[in-house]
Amino acid sequence: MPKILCSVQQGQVPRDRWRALESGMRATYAQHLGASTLLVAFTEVPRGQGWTEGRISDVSWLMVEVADGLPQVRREAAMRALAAEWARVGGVRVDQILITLCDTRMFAQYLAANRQRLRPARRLPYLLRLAFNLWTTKRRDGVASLPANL
Amino acid sequence: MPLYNLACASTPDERESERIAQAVTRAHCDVTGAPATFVNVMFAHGYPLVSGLSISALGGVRIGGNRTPEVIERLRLALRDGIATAAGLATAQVQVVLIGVPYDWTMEGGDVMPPPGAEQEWLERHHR
Repeated sequence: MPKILCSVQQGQVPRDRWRALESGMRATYAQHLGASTLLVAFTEVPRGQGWTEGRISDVSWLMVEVADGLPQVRREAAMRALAAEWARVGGVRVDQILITLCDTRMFAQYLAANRQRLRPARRLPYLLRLAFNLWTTKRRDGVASLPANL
Repeated sequence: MPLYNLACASTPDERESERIAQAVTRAHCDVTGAPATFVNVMFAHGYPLVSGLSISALGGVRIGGNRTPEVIERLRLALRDGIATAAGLATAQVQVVLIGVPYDWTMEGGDVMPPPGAEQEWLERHHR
């Protein structure tokens, strides 16, 4: 299942817009990239933990998984559409978005590198905790989210 | 892009985070010549890192253009040293892992990123 990881600076996009953002991202992804199921996960970055140009950041960071070898023309069209949708629904400027459309292989490489920096004994509990967080927040809030900190 | 995700074993406060973020930005710009406006840093606290590590930086950086493997390795070392100095740590307590991302897979500042080394024209086009 393709994933979209959305890191939002605290206070930048009100939480009551997250459901609409999730819907917008799903619809835009389906329109341009054709996936019927998708995991969209939000992380709120607390103040003082997100920086751009050495200053407190106002940029949303989106990492979007796409099929390996997606042609650049389709990748770019999807990237522009997803950014435009995020800006429209989130009420931010399009230049306040950093979006990467990453091949599945590289997306997996990134997630594996993230796990491998944890102590071996803590990797499985970490994954279970993430899964639990995604499940409980989706049920409770209607939107899956992950904590910025452990 | 770049976006550096810094997992920290501890909980640095805002001033320390600012110092580290600025060190990361400086190292990235000094080695690659990229503008500071592209450099993003995110901190994650309380990570049970591999034994001996206090900070682990996982960075997605543009590849292509003028970024040879030698430049990427120099960047990795400059980031490690800069983070260690800013955080008051030994270099052995800091890990930096870089993942090269094709430049045109990312959009920032409202447009698709330029190839490394061609930032000036892109910036002029976007008045940044």
